[in-house]
Amino acid sequence: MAAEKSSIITLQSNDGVSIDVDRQVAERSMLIKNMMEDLGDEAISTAVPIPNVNESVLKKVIEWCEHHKNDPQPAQDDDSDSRKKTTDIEEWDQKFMQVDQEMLFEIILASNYLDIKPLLDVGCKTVANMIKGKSPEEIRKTFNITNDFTPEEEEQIRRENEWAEDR
Amino acid sequence: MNPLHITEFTSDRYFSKLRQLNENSENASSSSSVVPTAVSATPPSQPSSTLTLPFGNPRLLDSNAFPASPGIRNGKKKSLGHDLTALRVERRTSSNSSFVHKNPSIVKYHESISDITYRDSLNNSILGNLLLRLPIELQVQIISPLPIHTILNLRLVSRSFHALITENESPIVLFHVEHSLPTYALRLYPIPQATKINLNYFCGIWHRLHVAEKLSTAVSRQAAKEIFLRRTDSQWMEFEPQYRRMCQRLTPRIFTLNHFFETYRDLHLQHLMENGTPLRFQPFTLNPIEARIISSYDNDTLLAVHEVFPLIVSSFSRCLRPPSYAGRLERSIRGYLKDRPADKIYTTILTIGGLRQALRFWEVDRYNVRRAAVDAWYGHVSRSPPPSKSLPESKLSILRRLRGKKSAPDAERKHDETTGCSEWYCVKDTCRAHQRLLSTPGLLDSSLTAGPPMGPLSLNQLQLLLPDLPHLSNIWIHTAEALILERKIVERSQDIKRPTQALLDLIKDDG
Repeated sequence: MAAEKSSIITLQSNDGVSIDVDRQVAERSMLIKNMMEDLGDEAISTAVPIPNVNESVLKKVIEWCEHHKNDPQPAQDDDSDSRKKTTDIEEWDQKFMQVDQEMLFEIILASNYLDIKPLLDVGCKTVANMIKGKSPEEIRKTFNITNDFTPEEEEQIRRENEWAEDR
Repeated sequence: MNPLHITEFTSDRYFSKLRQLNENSENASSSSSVVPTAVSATPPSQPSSTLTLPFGNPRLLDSNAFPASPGIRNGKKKSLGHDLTALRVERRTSSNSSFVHKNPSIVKYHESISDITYRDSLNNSILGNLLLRLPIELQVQIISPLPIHTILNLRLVSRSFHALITENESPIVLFHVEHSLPTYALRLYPIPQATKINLNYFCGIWHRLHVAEKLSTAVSRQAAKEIFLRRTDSQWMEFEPQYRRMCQRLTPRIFTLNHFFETYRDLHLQHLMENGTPLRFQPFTLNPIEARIISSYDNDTLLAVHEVFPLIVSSFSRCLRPPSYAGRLERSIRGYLKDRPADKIYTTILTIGGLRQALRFWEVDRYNVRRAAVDAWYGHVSRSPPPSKSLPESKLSILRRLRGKKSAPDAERKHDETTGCSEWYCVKDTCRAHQRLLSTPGLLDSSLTAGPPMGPLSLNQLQLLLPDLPHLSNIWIHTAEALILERKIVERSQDIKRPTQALLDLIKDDG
């Protein structure tokens, strides 16, 4: 088991770059972990293609996995409330997520594909925090969205929103 | 390629970085000819202009600047864009080049958004689309934990976001039902079957909770001032913890009471509509409708509500009486000429308008204005058909405006038609709020369009209900007390706490 943990896996991004990663690090991804378990040890010798993730995103994801390699593995059916409820993000992850929006969304997609739940959570929370507590106008600014309602439509929705909070 | 490290999107720093990236010709292979123009074309002194940036013209992009952009497989990206490189290159390049295109093509964007396949929008790098392009389960995961206020705000952002929320009402609401509703609320309004779990259900409870909280604050504040006589700031500071405890303990009880009045109105109306014998012609010791509702409350709830019921009703009736400190002289000087409304009016407010209507009156600032609002509302509710001249119920600003214009009824009417009043409960025929309820469903309708619980009644319904209302002193008290004894919650009626005792219990510190 110990020998296995220290072994190296080669991941190949979709733009053809190979990256060597500790098996323990790579297995933060449930996708890779399950694949390794299914294929057995001989799979280690060949590069694992990650068809949906390019090099820069993959490197970023691996950076996260490196830092979190010693975290306890989440329970398999982890839908625990505390995890979803809070929008707190630990400091290292906050710094890690200080990237441009495209990268942020690609990390989310990659972690979804690679099945790295904690990273997916951090990504989703980061986006949620960009929205949380903001007015419609502020949200539009954050995501560069144009208001495409007519004044009447906007009025209708505002009215509907108002009764919900009895304002 | 280094990711852009930014603190905030569209900040000055962001754009200086972006320009820097351009100058370093990160994308030299594809855009070397464009970049210099792009940089010079960007007015550095006007960062605000960059907000409209990403509306590039896709066709121009494809044909001129980036002929080699790989992998533009339309339609594929919407389903999760697993070809991330292609997406990435494409977005990056178009956002760079959008410095060039000075005329943002907003119209184009709208067209493409309404296009279900998103085909044309793929080339536009609109950052909001990043969120909209995520798979639905991820969107839901991002949105659900947001406070409900923010979720409602998202509906106002744009059509696409409105659709995003409307399509995912049920999972979002399920999350919030589990996390942000108190158990007592769920007991009274259990989760409906799957198809009915929507924002209307959730916001209905949310609305009632707001009403209960505001009312309990109002009752507590009044009690602190007039019963416990905390009038100066220092007295108030010292009383603060008790006041908070009182608010906290009253809220669930008032919420239950609100449920009682709401259900009572529904059941009573239903009874009359089905040609049941009006209650006034029925001999009974226990009001059957009340008994039916109260029997659905558990013992603790029933007793707790019963003990504070007199306090709440007397508190409400006090706010519609002239200030007690005012003597006859002061009353006439200040114009506190009106006496308290008749019991019948109280009953009507509570049973027809519900606690929410009571709260509305409560929130009106000065006594005279408040009394006028009550009279206007009652006059409207008890009007005889055809409605001669109806006033919106409690929107006082409008009320005052109307009064000023009494001489010109036509102008007044016209005015109302154009502006409408912002009152959900307005039953005026000319009012837009009223017409909207009757109008055909629009494109942007969601479950919230149906309006808040305890909406206005039609004239017919009012005419059925009004003559059959119970007397104020009969509401709740007798039925509840009889049922408390019958269920042996306490042994004797003397064991039910008197209002003074109940009030002291509300502020008691029991650790």
